[in-house]
Amino acid sequence: MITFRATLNVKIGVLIMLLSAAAFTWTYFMPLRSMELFIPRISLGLMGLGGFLIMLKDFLEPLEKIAEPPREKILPYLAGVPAAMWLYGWSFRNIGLLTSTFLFLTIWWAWISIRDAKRTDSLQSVTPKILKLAALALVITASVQVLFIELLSMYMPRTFLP
Amino acid sequence: MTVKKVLFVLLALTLIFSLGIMAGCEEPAPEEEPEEPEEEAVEEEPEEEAVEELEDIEIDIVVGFAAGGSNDLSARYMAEKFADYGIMANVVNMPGGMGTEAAYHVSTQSPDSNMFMWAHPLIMLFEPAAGDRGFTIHDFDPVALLASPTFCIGSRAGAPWEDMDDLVQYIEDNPGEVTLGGQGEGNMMHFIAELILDPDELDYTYVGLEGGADVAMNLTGEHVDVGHLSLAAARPLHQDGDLTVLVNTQILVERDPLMPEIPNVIEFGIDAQEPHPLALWGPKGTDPALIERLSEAMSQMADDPELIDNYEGAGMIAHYLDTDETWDFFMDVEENMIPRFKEWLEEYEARE
Amino acid sequence: MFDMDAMREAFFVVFALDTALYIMIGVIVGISVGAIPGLAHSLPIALVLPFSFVLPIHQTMGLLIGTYKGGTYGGSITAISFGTPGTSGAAATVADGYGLTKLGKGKKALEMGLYASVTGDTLSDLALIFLVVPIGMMAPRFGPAELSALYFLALSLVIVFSTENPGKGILAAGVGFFLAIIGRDILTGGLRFTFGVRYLEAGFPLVPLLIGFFAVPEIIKKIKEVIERPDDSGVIGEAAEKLLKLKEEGLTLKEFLASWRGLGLGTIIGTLLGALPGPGATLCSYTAYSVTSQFSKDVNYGKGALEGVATAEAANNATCGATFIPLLTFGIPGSSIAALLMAALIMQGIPLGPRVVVDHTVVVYTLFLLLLLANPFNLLFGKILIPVYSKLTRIPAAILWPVITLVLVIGTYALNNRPFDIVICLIAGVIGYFFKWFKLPDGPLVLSFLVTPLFEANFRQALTISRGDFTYFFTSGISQVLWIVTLATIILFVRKRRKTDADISGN
Repeated sequence: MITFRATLNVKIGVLIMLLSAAAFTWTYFMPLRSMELFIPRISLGLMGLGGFLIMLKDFLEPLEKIAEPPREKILPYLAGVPAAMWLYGWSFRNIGLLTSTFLFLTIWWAWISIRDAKRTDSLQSVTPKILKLAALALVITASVQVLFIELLSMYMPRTFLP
Repeated sequence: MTVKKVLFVLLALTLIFSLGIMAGCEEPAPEEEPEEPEEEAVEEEPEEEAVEELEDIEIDIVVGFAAGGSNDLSARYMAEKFADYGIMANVVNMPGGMGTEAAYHVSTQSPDSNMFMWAHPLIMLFEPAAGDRGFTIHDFDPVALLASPTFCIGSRAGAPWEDMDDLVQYIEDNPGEVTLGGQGEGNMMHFIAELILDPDELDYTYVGLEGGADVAMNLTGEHVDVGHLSLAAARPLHQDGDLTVLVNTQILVERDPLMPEIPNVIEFGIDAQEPHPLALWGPKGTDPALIERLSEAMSQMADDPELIDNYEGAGMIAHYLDTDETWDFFMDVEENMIPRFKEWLEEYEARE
Repeated sequence: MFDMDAMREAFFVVFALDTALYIMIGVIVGISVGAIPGLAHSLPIALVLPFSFVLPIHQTMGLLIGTYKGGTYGGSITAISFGTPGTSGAAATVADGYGLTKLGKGKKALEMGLYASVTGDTLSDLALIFLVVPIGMMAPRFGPAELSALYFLALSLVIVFSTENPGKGILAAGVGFFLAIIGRDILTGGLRFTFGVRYLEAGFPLVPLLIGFFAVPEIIKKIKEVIERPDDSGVIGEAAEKLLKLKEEGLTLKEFLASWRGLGLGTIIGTLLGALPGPGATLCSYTAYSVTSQFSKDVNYGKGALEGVATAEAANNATCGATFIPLLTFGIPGSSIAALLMAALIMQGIPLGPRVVVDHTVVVYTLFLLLLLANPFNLLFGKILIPVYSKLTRIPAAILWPVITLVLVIGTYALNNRPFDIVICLIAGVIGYFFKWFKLPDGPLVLSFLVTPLFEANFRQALTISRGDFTYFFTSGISQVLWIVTLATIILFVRKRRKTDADISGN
């Protein structure tokens, strides 16, 4: 028995079907020979089929058995964390490994500590805590330098700061 | 508490590491020391002062392939020798895009970065001719040429032909029967293979395998009849009777000292020697004095019996061309081969 | 065949203090670097390569083999402790290993990983020593047609992962296929789906992709927890608060032996697949892992079963010995690490090839003994490091995870000195997060990503050789057997699935 529902699963399934169908059509306008496009077309076909089956499953199964993906607020983190990681990757290559490692760790820990302190109303004891963490950051920075530069002789572009 | 413990362990580990590495480094020191004065004292009396005046420099030699291949080995042997001339050379591996990613990287460096590219015509000329790779040979200054890997054509064990002439005859007599396994399709290696056996005249099947090891494996397993691979990989299999080397395609000398009994392809009147020699390149505008110093060191290396031996073991011949000769060699390839390659590529892309 | 004198000579060379020292350094370096996410252990091997210029062969090879084995094992440590595989070979360990850590059984999992690694490794070394000739002779008989059949068999394992929700399994496999074909065509060099981005021409490299896929979602999750629920995010694992005071229990012999299926299958599959050029440790462990899932009696398999850890770890370490099989019989390196080991031997003046066993018998025996001797060292240092890592998991998340994150970023870059690898790692991370959120299985993605390039190349080569004749795929005995096994596997899995379905509805 088929019941048409617009669950999140179905929406994503349809979206995937549309995307793969579009890409599949696009392969016919590519300047590649058919042998080179053989596996890509299979892969797009599979994605489309997968999307279709996901959609179909929600149509066929009784409502109580459908497992919806969680509706949490994740987008800011999904964008923010990789962005921060990329920024760190950029900064250690262009500003300096030591400087950026130390700054990233210290800023993060300082921010977390201050937030924590505000929450628990212990702002007066936050400074020594941050200092301790900054010292820890220094130690980690030093280990990173020893590990990657001294021992693994990682290739580093010449940077502005150490 | 736990944090402290962890830090302590990290520190301890670091200590063990550095001790270990130092222990490793200590060994070479006594071996190297007696070598240096010996060499310089015997031959380079007048030049020694000049060498001493020059301070030690550090350079990076970028290799466009992963560590362990012949490309990488040749650079490492060279880097080891550079140390004798006060040049501390680090080999940096940047694999990707048949070496073109590394070449692109070096081409974008400033001329005073002391970074050099270890590259053959495949990277410098053929790849940029096949499509935009972000650089051309004219973004570089040559230093010198030092190594030339030898490639060869081998046939499977028990093949009914003895040499190149027989093979050609056999293909003519048995159209469509012979399969040639090469390294990839639509690249320089494929182009050379088709120069040797012209598909317009000979009816055989070319199959692009993934690399030298793959070709050796398929020849040994008799999945292909003829293969195009490096001489170093083919030699042990040849000696064991798993395959037969027919000709080598070395461009700089006719017979490779590794297997002097194997004729050069030119001896069969086939003009398809492979332009594969490796040269050192700096970004355009590199200090000529530095280039000269490196080139001078390389010229002396080329006569070093140890390097010659090492190169031979890895299937390469040590052959020095100075800065101008290197440029002329590459320009000759650019003028004579690249137009043919481009033409061939167009024709190849039209095939289906 | 067996040369007693050579064996004696090799024995005295290997069982000496200096050799032991170098193996020890190698194992420590290997485990430590293997446990850094993003850095594959080919990096330290490449780093110690220059030493082969100056050290005698038993020391160099002791160092390299120690690094290789330590690194292959080391990847599992972070996979189990933080769900962040240290090497791509440990990706299959994440599901069960990290699952156990979350249940507060991290120490058990770590110990199982170590014992399974050492067991699989030792058995595979023994297989190498006794079977190098027969297995070696088989390898070249796998041509493009046979390999196509073999890889098709591996791809059919995707079905295993897809039984619960076929749509999601197929979608995951499709994504894996697609990621694998981005970049330059392996044979023709044509650019596929690179969207004009120069860096994409090299495709998605395995290590940044897998590390990003598994590690970045975990990082995102942890950072989110730290920011949103600062009180609960002290340590890993929901039950960990209580466990802080409890002493964690180690693995018992009974538990170890109960995983005999996983250990056995892992070792066998790791050794056989590892002996072929191409597959590598990651594919071996995933294949073994999925095969064992069909035979395991543990209901938690895939969520936190010791047997899962045992299988994956036995399989990836079993490739260590097996890698040497094609290397010693034909001088053909089957993986990037094998190529490095081969380079080290060439630098020592040992040309590898079919005659190496005859011409350099002592060297070959030395290698065998070094391989065996490295295992106890691996066991010893693994044992020392386990308490350290099981304690590391108890560091507050707000402190621990930023450090892991930064090390991951540097490690990813350091492996190939490619800044773009970081971007690939992050893209893979976003895909990985989507997979986690939408509950897509990761097995089909990894399997199809790994097998696709191998399958595609061999399939197309076979078609070229046969000039488009499809019967070529079924001509040799090996391929016929493989196709029959594939068919049988698919039928078996489908029937098993029907049976489980019937059981569920029957209840």
